[in-house]
Amino acid sequence: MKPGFRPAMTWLHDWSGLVIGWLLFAIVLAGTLAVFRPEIGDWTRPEAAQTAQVDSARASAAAVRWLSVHAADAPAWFLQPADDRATTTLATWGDGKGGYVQRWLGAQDGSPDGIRDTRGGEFFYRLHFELQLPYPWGRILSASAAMLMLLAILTGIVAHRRFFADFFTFRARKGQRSWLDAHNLLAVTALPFHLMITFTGALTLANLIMPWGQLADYDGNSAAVYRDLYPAAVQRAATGRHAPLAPIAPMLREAERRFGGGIALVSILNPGDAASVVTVTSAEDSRIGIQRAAISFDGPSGRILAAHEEHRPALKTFNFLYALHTARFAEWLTRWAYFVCGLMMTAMIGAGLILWTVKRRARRTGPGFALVERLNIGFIAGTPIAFAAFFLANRLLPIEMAARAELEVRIVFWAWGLVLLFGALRPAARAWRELLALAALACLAIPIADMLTGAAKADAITFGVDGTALALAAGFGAAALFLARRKPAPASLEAPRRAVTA
Amino acid sequence: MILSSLLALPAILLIALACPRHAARLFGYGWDHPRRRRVRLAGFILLGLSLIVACADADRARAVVNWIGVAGVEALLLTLLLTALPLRRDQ
Repeated sequence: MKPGFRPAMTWLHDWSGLVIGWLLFAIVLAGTLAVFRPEIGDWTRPEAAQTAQVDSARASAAAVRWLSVHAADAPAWFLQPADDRATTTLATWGDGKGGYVQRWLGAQDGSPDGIRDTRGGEFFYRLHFELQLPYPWGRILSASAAMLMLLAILTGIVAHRRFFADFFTFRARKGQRSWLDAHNLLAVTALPFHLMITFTGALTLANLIMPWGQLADYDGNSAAVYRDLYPAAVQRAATGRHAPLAPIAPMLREAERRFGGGIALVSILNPGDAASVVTVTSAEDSRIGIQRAAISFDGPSGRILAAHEEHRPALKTFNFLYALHTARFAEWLTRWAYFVCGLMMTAMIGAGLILWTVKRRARRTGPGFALVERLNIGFIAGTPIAFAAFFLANRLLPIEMAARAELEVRIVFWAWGLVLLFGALRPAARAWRELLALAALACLAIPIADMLTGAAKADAITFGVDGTALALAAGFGAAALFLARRKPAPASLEAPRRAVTA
Repeated sequence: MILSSLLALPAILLIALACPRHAARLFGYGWDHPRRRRVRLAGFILLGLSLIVACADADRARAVVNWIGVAGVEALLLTLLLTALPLRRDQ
């Protein structure tokens, strides 16, 4: 590292970006897809057709009826009711062995029968910050990645000296210069988005990597933290005496009346017990950072136990920043803006990773360069292939297959592993070309599989998912074609460069 | 939203053209420094105006978020266009 402020920032930018770049690439791409979590959920469950206007209260009541029969012994039920974006209710409950069971229930009958078992958009949403790792390791890793990303962005502004002078510059077919331009261009044009999404992402999970405030104020008592954060979420131990749950629909109607809006979450603690509690949390509406409200009812009687509307300044600020990250407030135009900016961020990370190898290609030595190059191939070309495999598995696996949702997820990681292996074994230039072509084919296969399996519908969700897959197929196809037509660099070009850098 | 997006487009185009490289590549001759400064100023005034129009929306916070997103995408598309047009002409 050369002495001086800018070289130090450049060094930090290069290395902080590199060590976490592959993970960030996957995190950001998963997060970008998670912008359309309910829509992807609807696409992956074509059987749960959108009927008329979905009523969240009725959908919740139907789900509770089904859970009363099929998960009566669970210590708690958690529902994310169907709404105008999601055609199914997500029900989660404890399996009694320390794990959780998830089912997507029909909005009308509250039953999962006939609806294919899939995680849908929830897979990308969870992968984005849990990385398919046990709690809390995935979240800690994601939070650390977000912190490093923030560091890489801030140091990048300093490192790229002509950042703003070359604001709109992209010099095509100029090798290293083109990669630097692409990296800068994608960074600068969406810089406010990159800063916002990274900062709010790091903040969302900050407690996990910076728990000292919580430790100092609460002495590590997480129950006390929870009580303070969610004062209306009444917690009480089961009595062991059976008492049926009062009709839930009137409770939900009362909650909706008090919120003046929809329902985001219904949790039912100790269902079927005399000490059961129904806690309802308000949904976000089209305003950013709408202040969350919650209300708890006594399960057997339906009497209100506690209600709370958030007005504490620190939590209002946090809710605003959290809402900016999750974009649940967003209507379709904003959601697409988030999606495109997310893709730009993914491409910026990819261009930065490739730039690292392009810069060092002339003096490539040792296993370090080879490792970075192979990981670049495996992650940059492999992540889209693995994610496309999820959509294809959703259409091609038999609908009634046991443990179908788990198999879909496994297929993603098998595909990822195979691509990494392929990238490690093939010559780099060929591996790029072949894997980009495979990514194009995988994306192209999504709308084809959708049509051939009869799941395609003439609606906005089908057009959105299939159209995006086609657009990505065209992009990957063009990239593969460009690489195929490009003449390989002659050995004579490498020699002088080595001599210059020696 | 539509008006602010439409205003942002020429604003970004003017700021891009004020970069020495783009005007020279696009028109075949470079602009002198005072001209580039004037064009850049006009671009920033238009961009500011576009933001003011976006802020006039009843839901200001969301409008600003939309504006940032749309302006970013417009900037990317314009840059690619400004790169592709001279390349196409050269070919």
